Amino acid sequence: MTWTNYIAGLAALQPFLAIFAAFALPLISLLAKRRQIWECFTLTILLINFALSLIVFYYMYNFSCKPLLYAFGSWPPPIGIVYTIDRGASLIGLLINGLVLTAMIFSIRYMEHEGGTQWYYTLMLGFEAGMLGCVYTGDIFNLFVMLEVMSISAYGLVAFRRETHEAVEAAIKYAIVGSVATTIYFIAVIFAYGSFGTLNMADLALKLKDSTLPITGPPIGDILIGSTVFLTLAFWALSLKAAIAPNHFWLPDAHPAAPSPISALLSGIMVKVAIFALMRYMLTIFKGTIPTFPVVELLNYTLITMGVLSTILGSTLMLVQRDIKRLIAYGTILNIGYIAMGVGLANLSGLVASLFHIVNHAIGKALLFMAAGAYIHVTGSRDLDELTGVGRRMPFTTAAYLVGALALAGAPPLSCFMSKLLLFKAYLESGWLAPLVVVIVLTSVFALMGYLKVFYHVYAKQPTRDISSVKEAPTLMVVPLLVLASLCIVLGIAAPIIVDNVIVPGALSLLNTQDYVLAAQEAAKLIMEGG
Amino acid sequence: MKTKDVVIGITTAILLLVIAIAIILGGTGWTPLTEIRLLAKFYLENCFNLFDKNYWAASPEAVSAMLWDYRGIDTYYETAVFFLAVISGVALFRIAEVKVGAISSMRRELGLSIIVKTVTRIAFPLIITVSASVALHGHLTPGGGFQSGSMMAVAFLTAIAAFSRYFIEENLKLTKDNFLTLRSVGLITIAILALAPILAGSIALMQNQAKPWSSTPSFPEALGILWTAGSIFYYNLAEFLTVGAGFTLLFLLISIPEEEFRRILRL
Repeated sequence: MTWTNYIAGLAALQPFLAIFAAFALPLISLLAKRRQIWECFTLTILLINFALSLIVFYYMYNFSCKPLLYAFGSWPPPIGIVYTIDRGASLIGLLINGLVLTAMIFSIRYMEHEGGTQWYYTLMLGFEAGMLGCVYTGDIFNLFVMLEVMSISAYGLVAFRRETHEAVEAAIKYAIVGSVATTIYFIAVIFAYGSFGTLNMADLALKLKDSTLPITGPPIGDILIGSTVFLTLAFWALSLKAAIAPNHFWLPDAHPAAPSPISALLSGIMVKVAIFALMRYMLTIFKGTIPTFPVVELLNYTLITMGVLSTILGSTLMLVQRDIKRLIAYGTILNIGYIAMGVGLANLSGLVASLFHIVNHAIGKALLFMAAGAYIHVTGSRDLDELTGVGRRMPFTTAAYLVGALALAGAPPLSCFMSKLLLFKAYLESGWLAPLVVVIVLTSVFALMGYLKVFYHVYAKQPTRDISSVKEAPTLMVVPLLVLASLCIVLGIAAPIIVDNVIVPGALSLLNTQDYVLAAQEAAKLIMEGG
Repeated sequence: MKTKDVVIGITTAILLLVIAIAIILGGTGWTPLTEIRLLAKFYLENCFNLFDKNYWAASPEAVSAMLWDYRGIDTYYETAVFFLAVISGVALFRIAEVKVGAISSMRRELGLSIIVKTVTRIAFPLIITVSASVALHGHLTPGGGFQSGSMMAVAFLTAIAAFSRYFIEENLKLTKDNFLTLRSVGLITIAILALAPILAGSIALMQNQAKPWSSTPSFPEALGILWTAGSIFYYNLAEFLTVGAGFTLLFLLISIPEEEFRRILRL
């Protein structure tokens, strides 16, 4: 049985298992009223998922250069829904699982004074499932469903601290904007299905080349118009989810309002999931396939423009923030701008830079938000002026924060320096877009100033109030911080090895439309042969 | 009117116009379509094809077959979307161990007039019965888990409107936790049904009927004389409980009087 793959099945099991656990957790919380039990349960599931994603990642990079296909309900494409796992997807899947696991461990102490943590962990499990599904899926409607799973959990998590009115207000705003985006994506799906007559991603790519999977037949409507509308609307919806300027306006409210580990996940990985879906469409499915109308090229340039705008807006607005979490959230807009700029180039070097930056920024940003969370947990304030000097009494947290800040600002030899260097190189090689390297350098300097402002306040500045009662954050919070910080260093120092062995194969798999389609075609042969 | 509103209005209008033009130009297939799309035709022809069971779902109801078999995992995750939305609501309205219903002295006078109450008393079991029939026939006739669950919740909603929420909690002895349990039982049933093929030793999540290219055995098509369309009947039943209890839970939460909720928040 080669067509539906056991390894891809392990990938499909991850979101399924997370949702199963989310289904079970409320019942468990009714039967056993101790939060330790809920935490153990969530932790076990997340550990299993992490192990599964590690297996998938290891297998993909060592034994399989082709995408693997998993068919739900044994229905080959295009009858049923398939997951198509390529190296890029397995990499992002590992990243998601790793970060959610870290955030969960951090949450144990962080949420210790909060009531209703069973709902918090339930939503966290759903959040993980949604993100994983978005990355693994090979079906445009299933992507919509998984976007919803991801977003609904995110709204609930942002509103979790309902006693602060900012959280509820931010969640309502976020929910309205987010639902508009998912609805727009749904309309996009209608156009794709309407004109192509299929929901399978590989089938879409085939139909653009005058070929098809069995059953669905030739396109029904005008695929030129259909794919143009689909791509434009999906682009808009996903750029909103990814918070690329000018669609970033919801992020500075929503991300800081959530509990810090959730901010880390929202900023660290959720926006990247949307970017990844965008990559899938623009680089794998629709790349260079509509010669008569260059919609993909136009969207690529739009993406670059929006990316540049994001970096400028994000970096300048960072400098004027007084709220520690809001400042870090603006940093996300800045970095999502870099990633968008890389994707917009639509070539291997740009994609490699983007993919590497996704990984680096996810880890760095999660680290910063969690470090900020540690300060907030200990002092109870988000205002930089009230946090002055506390860093001296929390050496580990501050050390971790400094590593993360320097890494994100692009100080060599830390992680983001390497990915920014790759982006820099990609732009230098790109011909007339080369002047944009100025943007990259300039905004990095701003970012450094912004992040060091926090460091200055929490460490260098004289305390304005009595901080003698401030102690180092609990071990369960410090350990995740130190793990992430060491990852920032390792990813920086070992960057050449990691880029060559992990990032480049991942980017190549994303650009390889032929193999992606082939996986679906092989599975669909079953229909022709009648079993 | 603010400039912002004008901008939003114009943007929406342009978006709708573009979508309308795209539809006229054939972006969603030529309208009116003279034929059914081939994929839809495939589902219609195969969902209860007794002569070629390779692609069948054993369900005469094509929509249920698509929902729970051909594209089953979508429905699984859509159930999760609804579940997570309700959980978000529960998390927002979480009240730590404080009894709601302190104003019990005036409970007799709560609710609408005696006529409405009597009508509701009659209608209540009838709505529940109809909703159950829609769920039980979901694999045979139009309907299914979500529809029937919504109908069941309507019964409770009318009861809340006519009698107040205390009626459900104290006269019917159904609390928030009961509905939560009922709902979890439904959800876990769905997940276990979906996992069943894995437990039977294959890797096909949510597989219903056997396929020539898969070693997994079929769900039994019928239970004695009762046609169950493989797993679809059970899915519908579990979804019925899930959705019905989920909606009722939300109705119970949003019918907590604001004053009372504020009082509890302040405690």
